[in-house]
Amino acid sequence: MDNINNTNRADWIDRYVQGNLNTEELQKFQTTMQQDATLQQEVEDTQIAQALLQHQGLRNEIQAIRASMKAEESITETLTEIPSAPIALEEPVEATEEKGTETVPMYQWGGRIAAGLAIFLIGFLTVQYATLSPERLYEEKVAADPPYLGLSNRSMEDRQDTIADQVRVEYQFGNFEEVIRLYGELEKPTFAETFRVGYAHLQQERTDEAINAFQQVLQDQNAFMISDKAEYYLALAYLQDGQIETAVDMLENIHTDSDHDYEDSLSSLYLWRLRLLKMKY
Amino acid sequence: MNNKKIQSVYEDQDVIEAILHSNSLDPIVRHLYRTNFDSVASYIRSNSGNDEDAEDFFQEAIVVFINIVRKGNFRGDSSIKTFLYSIARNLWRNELKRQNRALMRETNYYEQSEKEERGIQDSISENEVKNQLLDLLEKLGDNCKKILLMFYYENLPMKEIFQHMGYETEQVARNMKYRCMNKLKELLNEHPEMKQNFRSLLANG
Repeated sequence: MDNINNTNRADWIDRYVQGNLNTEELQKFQTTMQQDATLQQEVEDTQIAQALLQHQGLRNEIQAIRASMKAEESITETLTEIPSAPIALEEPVEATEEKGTETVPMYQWGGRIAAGLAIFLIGFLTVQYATLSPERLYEEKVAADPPYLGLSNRSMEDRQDTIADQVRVEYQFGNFEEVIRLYGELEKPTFAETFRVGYAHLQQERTDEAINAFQQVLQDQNAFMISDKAEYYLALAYLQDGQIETAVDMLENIHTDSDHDYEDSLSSLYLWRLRLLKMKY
Repeated sequence: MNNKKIQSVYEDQDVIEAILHSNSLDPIVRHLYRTNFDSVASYIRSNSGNDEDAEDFFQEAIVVFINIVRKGNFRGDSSIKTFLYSIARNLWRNELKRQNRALMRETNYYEQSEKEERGIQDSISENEVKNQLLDLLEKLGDNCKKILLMFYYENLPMKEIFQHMGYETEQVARNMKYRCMNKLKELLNEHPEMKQNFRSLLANG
């Protein structure tokens, strides 16, 4: 690795605190640190931040495991609660049999299992149908998707001197209110800023504004590189807005278009639930 | 092999080994819940707590326990069951003290040496210092928190992080991580006293 300089300083510190330096590098780093009080301070600050992040990470992991255990327990409970056969029906059948003959159960095991599964399936479909809503499908999709954070001009990515740069930085930090505020100050926003403000509005549940922004991006001929993304988020904005037919049709088209960036992002179960939603409303 | 058998294969030594060396905590945390949650929950419920308290404090006890093991401070003088129960009991006692409430029924089912008790109290104090600073992470925003956790907790390489987060290039992700880390350091500097406490903890190992 190169000598420690301002460009690679942060990488050196990370590798040091994570224990990823080899013997020679470690010696070099420790010698530099002894002569550089600022570096020493930076290392200490990074160690404190890292320890804090590891604490949070451990808590998150345990919480996620517990949540998953509880979800599994709840499914098991639901399955064991399914009646294997209606008990009330069994007794009269036995009562009418002649004395001394072997009792014949009304349902054989195969029948019981089939009946149980049928009840479970009907229950599952009923719950799905009853609880299905555009808000729920929207939330699930947005929660599952990583935020789209690209669209940066590489030569400008560290600069914050223009309002457009600030919009980009605030967007990347997830400060969506600030993105919306700064966007209002732009004289001539480009499709990139318009996309960002559309996404920010979507996150803030300002659906009309989000739809308007994504439509603008789609109408801009220069925005061909992100038109698939804009189309996908426009469909989600329609879903959030309760325009179910439009949203479902757009998402179905995205799924069937093998060239579309978001072709794979919709599972068969999700599409099936979208169709069910369309039937419901 | 039935489920019961699968679920009971961990001896105490296996648990310690897995915490120290395994990449996944999942099977161990599940085992700890299966074998210890009920006794801890029953203790908390019989001492003014409810089900939610039992969940929260058992989770906290596991965090403290894993940290003790990772620091090499679990000597195995008592079983994990006894040890974990003691951690949870101490955590719950502290909580009741904080709320100015007394224990309704203190039944100690498990014997604990004085030395172990002191060690547990020290680890709990350390956990509290860390918890006080967790709010700062919330001020970072979701994206920053995610990227920093992926790098510093999950130890994922930047190549994977940039794809997972949807950044355009690895360099964008690298810059973002750098900015987020600086933001976290700034937030820590705004709380010099808490930062100093944390520093002392790290220095004391």
